[in-house]
Amino acid sequence: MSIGLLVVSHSKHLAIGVVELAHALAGDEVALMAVGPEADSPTDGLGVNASMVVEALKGFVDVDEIGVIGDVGSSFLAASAAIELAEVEDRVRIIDAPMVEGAIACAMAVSMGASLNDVVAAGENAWEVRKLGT
Amino acid sequence: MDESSFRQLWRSFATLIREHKDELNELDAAIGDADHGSNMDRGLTKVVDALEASPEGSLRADAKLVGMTLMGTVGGASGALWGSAMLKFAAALPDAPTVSWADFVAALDAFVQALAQRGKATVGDKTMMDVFIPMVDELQTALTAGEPPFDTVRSHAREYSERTYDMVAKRGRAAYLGERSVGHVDPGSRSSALWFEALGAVGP
Repeated sequence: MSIGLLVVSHSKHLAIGVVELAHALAGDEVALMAVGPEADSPTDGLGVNASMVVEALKGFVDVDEIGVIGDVGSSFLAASAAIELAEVEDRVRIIDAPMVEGAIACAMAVSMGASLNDVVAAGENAWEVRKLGT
Repeated sequence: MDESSFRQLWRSFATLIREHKDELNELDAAIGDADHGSNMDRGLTKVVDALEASPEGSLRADAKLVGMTLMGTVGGASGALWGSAMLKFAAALPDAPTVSWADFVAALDAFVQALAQRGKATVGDKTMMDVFIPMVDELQTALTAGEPPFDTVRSHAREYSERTYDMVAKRGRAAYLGERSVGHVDPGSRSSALWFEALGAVGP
């Protein structure tokens, strides 16, 4: 089962940056996709919406399962609405993780061949990793 | 409710949102990113156009169109919440041009359940739920009692919205403000109150 990671942000630039960083740290072979509003998006460049996430989920064709990572709350609302709308609940999971650290942790787990459950756990565990030691 | 009233409801809501656009943006400036009025206005303008252009005959199809349009054009939490709840609302409406008020309110309950499931917010969290939950409760109570429901509840939505002034935000971006969110009306509750105002205008 191949796993892809979708990074959903209020800023497309931010999502692309997170994908770049995760690729650099976990390897380019990890399937990562950035989703966010662009200047000409129907929301006028303001915030991510469910339609954008639906498009991305449909475009992510070369993976079996998908983990979704996001920034602030409404990215998660958009993602959960999109998953229901696209009827992909059985193969897509939203990961409650800090976006940057979680994406890195999840991408590393994917690169090591982890299951989707373990990828989710790796992302959630990123909350526990302090940056200045315990 | 017939289809012309249903479509009128959305035209009225769009008009009210436009009239209150600056007020909603200002409320959002206090605890968010100052775009709630503009965001809803853009989405509802598209909703009115989409309904105008779509064939008549099905409340379910109309409501689905409203949900899909809001989801595609309103950014942030409002688009995801209104959009996905409208799709549940649509599924509970008949594929026909009329619906009894009892069934309409039952569909509204499905709307609120969808909001709760998606947003995980409840009364007291300083969100649109502070208007939708008590208002739908009141509509159901009035209907059960056999009263003309919209006479008794049409003016209450604004009051429920005003109650968010003293609340500490628990959900959404405003939650990052903690105690500092006290002293502002939640913009999502205000726009929700405008929806009930529009509903009151077409209700019996």
